[in-house]
Amino acid sequence: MENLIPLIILFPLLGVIINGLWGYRLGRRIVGLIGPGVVALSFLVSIVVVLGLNGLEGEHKQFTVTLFEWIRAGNFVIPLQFLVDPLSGLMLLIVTGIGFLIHIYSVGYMADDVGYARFFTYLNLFIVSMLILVLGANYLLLFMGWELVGLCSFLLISFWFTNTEYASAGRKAFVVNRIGDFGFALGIMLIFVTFGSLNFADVFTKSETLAVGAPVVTTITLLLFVGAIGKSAQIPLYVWLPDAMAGPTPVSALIHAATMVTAGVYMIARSHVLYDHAPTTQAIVAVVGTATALFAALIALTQTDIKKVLAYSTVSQLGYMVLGVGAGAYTAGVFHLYTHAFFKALLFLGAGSVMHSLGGEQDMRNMGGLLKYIRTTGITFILGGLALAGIFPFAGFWSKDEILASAFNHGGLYQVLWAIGVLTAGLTAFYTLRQVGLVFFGEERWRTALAPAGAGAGHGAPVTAPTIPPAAVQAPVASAPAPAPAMPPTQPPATTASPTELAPGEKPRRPRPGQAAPVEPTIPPAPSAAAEPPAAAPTQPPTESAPGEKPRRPRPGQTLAASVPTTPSISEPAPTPSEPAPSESAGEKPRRPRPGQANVAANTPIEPVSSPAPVGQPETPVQPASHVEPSVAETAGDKPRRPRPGQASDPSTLPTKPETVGQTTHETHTEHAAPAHGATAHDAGGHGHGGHGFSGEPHESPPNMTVPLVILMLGAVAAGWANIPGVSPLLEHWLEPVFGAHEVEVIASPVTLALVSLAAAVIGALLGMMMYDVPLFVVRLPRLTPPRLAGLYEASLNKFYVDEIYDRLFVQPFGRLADWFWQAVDKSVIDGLVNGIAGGFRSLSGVFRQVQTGYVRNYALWMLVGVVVLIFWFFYQ
Amino acid sequence: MDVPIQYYGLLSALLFSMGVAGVLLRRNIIIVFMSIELMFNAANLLFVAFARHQNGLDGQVFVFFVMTVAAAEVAVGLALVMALFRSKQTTDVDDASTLKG
Repeated sequence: MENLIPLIILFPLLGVIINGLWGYRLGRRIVGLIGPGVVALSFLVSIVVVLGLNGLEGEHKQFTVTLFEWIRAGNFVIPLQFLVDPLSGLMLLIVTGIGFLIHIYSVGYMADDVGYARFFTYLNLFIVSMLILVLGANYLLLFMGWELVGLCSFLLISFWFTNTEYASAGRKAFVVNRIGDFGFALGIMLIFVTFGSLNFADVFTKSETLAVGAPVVTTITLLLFVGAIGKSAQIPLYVWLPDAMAGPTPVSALIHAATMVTAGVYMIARSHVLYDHAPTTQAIVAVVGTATALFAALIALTQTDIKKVLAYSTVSQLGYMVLGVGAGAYTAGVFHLYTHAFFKALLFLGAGSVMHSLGGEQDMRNMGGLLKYIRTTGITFILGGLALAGIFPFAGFWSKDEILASAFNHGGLYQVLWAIGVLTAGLTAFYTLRQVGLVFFGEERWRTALAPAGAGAGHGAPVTAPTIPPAAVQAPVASAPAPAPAMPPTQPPATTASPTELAPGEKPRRPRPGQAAPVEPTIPPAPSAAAEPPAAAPTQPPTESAPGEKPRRPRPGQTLAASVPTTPSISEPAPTPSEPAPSESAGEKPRRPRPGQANVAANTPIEPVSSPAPVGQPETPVQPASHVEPSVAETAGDKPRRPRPGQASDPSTLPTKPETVGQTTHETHTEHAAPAHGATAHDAGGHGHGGHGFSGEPHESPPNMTVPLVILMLGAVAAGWANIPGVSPLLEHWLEPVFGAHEVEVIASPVTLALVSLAAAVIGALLGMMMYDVPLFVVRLPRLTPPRLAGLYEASLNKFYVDEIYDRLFVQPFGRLADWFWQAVDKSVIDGLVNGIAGGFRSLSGVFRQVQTGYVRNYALWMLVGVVVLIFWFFYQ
Repeated sequence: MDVPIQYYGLLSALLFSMGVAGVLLRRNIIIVFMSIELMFNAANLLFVAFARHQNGLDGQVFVFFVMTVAAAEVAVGLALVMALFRSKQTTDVDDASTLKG
């Protein structure tokens, strides 16, 4: 049995080597077989090993295998040793099992990406790293896996590295993780200094002799926890995780569910003996975990990007796990890790499938009513959502409840944490259902936002119009836009949008109407042209797209103005140009321009609409206005930057080859680079898999994407049943040899506690359903909107400005410090010294150089002189 | 009759000095080359003279070696001259001064 253990790592490693070295020559089919295949093999071996483990008894329930001595320096001896015990066994199954499903899914998801082989190489390497992390029998191996995982996350997050923004998201993940790793490395060194070994078994045995609360243990555990903060994305180092959405969706799923972020929790659970000896650290861990859970949940409430909601929800759920391990309930923490792996992987892959169905759209405000189009995805997603929300009897309920119950029973401070945890559970349920509602129920906003012109016309104009509380509902096309022009030109987006959810999101990127306007003129005509070759379009207006980024969406003011003129001057020519615009816009799934576009679309066909026009015109100079039309078209053109060139309504473009797609993508990216919009804006979908554009009707993903969804759904539903306290505490028994039997005095009955947290979840879920069109309840509540909760909403939407604060607090000061060092120290002192020495030698050599005349005679003469001198020397010596 | 050894020495020194002067003063590489040969032979002459003077064969044998080496050197040297001429269309050694620092 022991001999099998290395195979678990070896198989994926083989995949890395094959795909990495020959991937591009093997062709996609073979790469797509090898990638998931090796993980499947590894999964099978893991099952065999774990089954073997199951046959052992109690304390002996572990396999150790030593391959060779890795490092020996004095008494510092590190064997390459793997350990499979119930804890790492469970992690093995999670990593390889969920990892395998994600691989399968990737085969479909990445099918059109140019970097197919590279992707699977990285993905396999990720699995290898995670397995090393999990299997290592000493802290150094764990650290090695830890760092490798960081490397892989960097590689995968910036997988589409030609886009500067994605690349910097990867860098951010890497750097932020390094900060945590620094603490972790210090912790490991301190462990060695204290215990003289890094072997888990040795360290834990020796630590038993230390007093509980000994400062050394507290320091060690705190340092280790710093590592966990980085890797498991806790406050204050969680900032990398949401940005990690820049990677392809399967990567998000892999990072969030099966690997990487669970590393911190695993490490704490693994070191539980140490943590048990450091109650102070435990309290800190628990507080940080709870704070993270609450904070991230608050942010998740208002996010509009389908993946960002999930990202923050992951941060929040990791907070729960950390709370669990901080409360000494290691089993509960690991239990949540395990259930979370299922439903979060499911949700991410489901989100990927949704995006896929809409040709890469990521903005939930452009979704809605999708359930009937993509049933499999929808149902699995909803069930996954319920599991995340902690609704009985789905997986999330059991594990979350167990964490909360153990926190409560821990007493004291922990009961406060419990209360916050319960509140967070309510928030979790709310934002999950909000997401479900926005994506799968309610108005089919994508029709206007993403669809071809014709489709949209019928509906309300600005995507969200219908949902808008204030007026607007009735007069879809015209009325909605009307207010926009009325407002001060500078603010247009804010006002217009504000009623809807969209607005705020855009803010950051949005306005610069000023920019947008000038841009257009450069490329005024040829809207149709822009549309046709989506690839080409972006190239032309490069400058534009840069600033254009923002404008893409709102600039309602302009767009309106633009659209207006066309209509009133209904003269023949006008409509014609406008025509192409909408079609384009359709092509691009303009998450952005939508309000404007919608109008355009609407306007063209509906003459009367023109009435609002005049309002807008005065504001915008006539010139730009006339150009606006094209601008829309362009925007459309831009869009393609997120490839989905296919989307262009023109069917001929659909079959775009992967190659082309790739190129487009690249160009796109470069242009993208410019401004703000959070990593979010783009997405995966846009990318590689532009091949499927959005062609009018959302379509279900291919089976190799939906099958993993269904399997994961089963897990999301049933995984929690593996550990029902009092009924089937399988997991607890399984992990008992590792964590020992914990005697917890029970303060409140588990059932009561479960009911409390369930109640919180249900209330949250109901609110979410009522506000966001989930049709279970007829009651409709007004949604969360900016005016309603003004400051808080805004703050949450902007992620509480954490990134900005960090920027101010750390990035900029360090930038300035670095600048100072550069100018004052490096340039003048260091460079001066180096250049000075070099200069000295240079002038010296100038003197000596004179000797080298290059004339042979001259050299001969010197030889002669030398000979003469030698002769004299010999003579007179 | 015996020519005194000093005469040989003088002749040899004369030849050698001519060779040195040729190498140092002439610019035509072929002349320079010949001057080098002259120095060789000045040395050879002295070898033979001393060998005879001391009734030993060592010096004479040595001359054979010098001559073979000189032959080889000529081959190489002429090849170099050819190469120089090909690349610079000149036999003037002062034109081959790319090593100038």
